[in-house]
Amino acid sequence: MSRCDDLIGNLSDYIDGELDPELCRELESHLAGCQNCRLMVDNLKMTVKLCRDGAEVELPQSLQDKINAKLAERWKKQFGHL
Amino acid sequence: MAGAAELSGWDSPRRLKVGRNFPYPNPAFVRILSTMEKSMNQKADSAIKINEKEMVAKAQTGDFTAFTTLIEQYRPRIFGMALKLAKNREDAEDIFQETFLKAIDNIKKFRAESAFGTWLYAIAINVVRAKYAEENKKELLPIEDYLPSSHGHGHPDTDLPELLDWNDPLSKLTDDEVGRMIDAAIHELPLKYRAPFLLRYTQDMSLQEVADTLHLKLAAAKSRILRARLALRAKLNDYLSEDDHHVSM
Repeated sequence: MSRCDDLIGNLSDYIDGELDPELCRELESHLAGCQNCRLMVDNLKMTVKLCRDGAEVELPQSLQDKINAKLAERWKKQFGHL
Repeated sequence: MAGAAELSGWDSPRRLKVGRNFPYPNPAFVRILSTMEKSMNQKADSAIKINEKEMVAKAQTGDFTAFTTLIEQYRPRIFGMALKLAKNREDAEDIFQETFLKAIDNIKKFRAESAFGTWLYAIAINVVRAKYAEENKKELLPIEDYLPSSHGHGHPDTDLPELLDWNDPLSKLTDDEVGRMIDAAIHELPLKYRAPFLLRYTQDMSLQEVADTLHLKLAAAKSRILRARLALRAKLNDYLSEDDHHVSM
């Protein structure tokens, strides 16, 4: 795997640790000699890390209360009771 | 799916983990322990599925408490997904609410062929698709066009900036600024790519679970996630290459 465009299709599997070991060795050998691809891999790893870091959200209590009332109302309509 | 063992109020069986620093280095012994670990964890997963099945069965006969217990662990996750899939907070709250209302409308039809969580996420994505029907048709560039132009393969029209080491610009931004930048980049992804990317990396689904949730073939799910990832990287690279790094939403 010497060409950069051979590498790109396997990037997700490589970064997620799911690439076949032989392909993984080939890809790492390419990365050792290609600074642009190394930066590309680093940036792709960072992309997911940044997205994961921001994934936790707090559910506002006011929204919880609002939806609980709506769910109870819809449940009664569907099943006739709570 | 990560978090399946975190069902609050249920009897979650304890999971066994064979540590890397186990004091007996005999490989055969470690193999036996690993087999035990796998077997016990499979039993734990089966027990969780049985609990989920029981709760679903109760909910299907009209037990509202069983239904609210079932959805409890998914509330913050579905809301987080809705915030990232919707165009604004008001839409996100509508999507969040509509998902659980549709779950009530359809709970009797749920046949447990998939996990309850997968079914719930599929409802949420369908609610988003219906709300933004036009946006669902938008496409991204082919994978090879995301190669940096310095490799000589970049698409002539995309004008992708040169690769950049992100550590330096990122260190100058506050957490809030980074958060806004990520949100802006995610929101620019077309829905058909944004949804599988978020399921994979913010909801920790396996590729197969993403494919099942979105009714895609595994290869298609994989390809969409890679294209989303490449497009996000290009967008973030674009933001971070700018001198002032200001991102507006």
